[in-house]
Amino acid sequence: MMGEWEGPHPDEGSIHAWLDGALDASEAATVEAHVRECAECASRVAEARGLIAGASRVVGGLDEVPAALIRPAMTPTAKSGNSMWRMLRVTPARASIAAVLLVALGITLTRTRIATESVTSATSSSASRLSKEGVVASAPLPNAAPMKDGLLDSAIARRLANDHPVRTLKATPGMSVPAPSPSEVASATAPDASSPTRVAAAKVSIRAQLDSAGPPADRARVGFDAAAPATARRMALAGRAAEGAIAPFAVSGRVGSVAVSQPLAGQCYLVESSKAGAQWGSVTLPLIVAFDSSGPIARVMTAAGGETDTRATLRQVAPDSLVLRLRRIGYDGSLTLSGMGATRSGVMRSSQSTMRLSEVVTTGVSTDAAAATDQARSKVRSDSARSSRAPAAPAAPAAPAPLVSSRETGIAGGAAAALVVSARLVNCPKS
Amino acid sequence: MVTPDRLTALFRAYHQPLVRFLTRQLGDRDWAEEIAQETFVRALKQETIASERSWIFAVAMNLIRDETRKDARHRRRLELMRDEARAESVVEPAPTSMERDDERAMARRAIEALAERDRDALLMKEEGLSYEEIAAALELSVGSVGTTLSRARRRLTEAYEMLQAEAAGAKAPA
Repeated sequence: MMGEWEGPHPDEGSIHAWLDGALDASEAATVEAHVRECAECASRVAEARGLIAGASRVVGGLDEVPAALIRPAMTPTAKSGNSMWRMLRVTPARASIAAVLLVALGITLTRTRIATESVTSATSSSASRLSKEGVVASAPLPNAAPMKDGLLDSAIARRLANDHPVRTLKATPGMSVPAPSPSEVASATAPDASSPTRVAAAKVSIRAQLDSAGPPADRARVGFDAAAPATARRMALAGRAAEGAIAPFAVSGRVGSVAVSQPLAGQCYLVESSKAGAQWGSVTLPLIVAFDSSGPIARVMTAAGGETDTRATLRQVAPDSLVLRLRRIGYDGSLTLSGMGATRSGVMRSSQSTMRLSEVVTTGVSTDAAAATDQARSKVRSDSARSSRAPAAPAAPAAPAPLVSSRETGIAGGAAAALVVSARLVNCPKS
Repeated sequence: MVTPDRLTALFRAYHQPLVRFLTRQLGDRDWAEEIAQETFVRALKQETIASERSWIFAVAMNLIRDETRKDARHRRRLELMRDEARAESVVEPAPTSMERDDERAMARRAIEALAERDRDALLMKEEGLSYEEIAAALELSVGSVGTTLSRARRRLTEAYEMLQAEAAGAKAPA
């Protein structure tokens, strides 16, 4: 296969081919015989072995890569408003991590808030309890005036919370806490933010993240990005789209730059498979994918038109196909649909997510007096496995946290199952 | 058209190595998975595929080549965000994680220093493709695969060692 090498010694390519087992038997025997006799070539073989091992090691070092580093959909566009979520770069993946952290934070802060309340209400509650028992309170009760010192305040509050465990338990359920307006959320980041505001902010954040499963308006990217350099493909695509050759969706840009043209918005596709009982995420096929008008989020519905809480993110790989990504803790699925028009074929993939949460970076202003003056950053690290069984829930940091950045790492691959599906345009179920 | 059963078999056999190959190429796992999926959709449209593994790797490579060549923004943004992440991670660094990050960054820089064909050949070899398959995917002669690989391996290890030496030099005075 490699032929005779030029000169008296095998060339480097032949040595590598020999070590890779790519030579046929006679060629391999020739090289082997020569190397045994030639000290110079023996050392070259040793070097080649080192290069092979070294290169493998370097290549192996590439494997742990951040997922979702590139999200062109998150770049600001003229169309998008001045959304807090966009400014904070909140993606669904980040939001889910944030939700876990914020739940922990919320619970912690709720305790503090309730405790603070109990400072102000201790007098009346104790008095009324005592008066019901027919006993007149005689001992002076702690001063209920609001403390200016946040640290002292929370310390007293924590102490009182411990002294009034029953009240704390009663008051913990979240829904009794009124949701603040967005302006209160913003004020929660101020250095002197009080505990109740922080609780409320955390709750609003959680709610907003739950809501963000729906299409946030600021993610909508319609039409072409004028600032982007127009590639030949894009130009050609635009031309074809203009001719009406591309229907019902058009794209701008390359992978990931989701730009759904209006024709796709508001459409629904029934996705079917010949395999009975197949599931995508938690939804059993056949299912309906509904493209909403306001952004790259598709609702996944049952074939009967029933709503599910499953939302998929629309992305684009090639001009004539689209990818829907479905990601949850412990699960990673995608659906690629090709072709044009009302009927498309595709591949549906499901896999157990092998991601692990390696790092969550939160940025917020701490109420800690020492850190109150600057944009204190706190970081939570966890190497715990990211799975539905054991979501990473590190101890909540003291800082109230508008989430800025989180990162997942994962080993590429993992057991995956593929399914051939077909999709056809259907009337959207009436909601 | 490739039958659904055949596609399932193809997917089972090649999905994982393909995603790993693409992730190593792109440094972005999500993107890699999307390209991989698109590759299998293309397979679905094929009447027949002669050499499956080379076909799949070649198609995937063409898909990324179409995109990456035309859009340098991707790399710039990747670098920007990587730097950002690095800057943020300066607070309370966990040494092992930092070291891993450094190694990964060096590995990526070293692999990016290779000529495209050398890199493709090496990453394919690392996924277990034979010399014949690599030759078919890259449209090379089988005889030149050994030379391509030996050059790729030498340059990669040299680039990596150089980066390591630079990093050690940068740390030493501090």
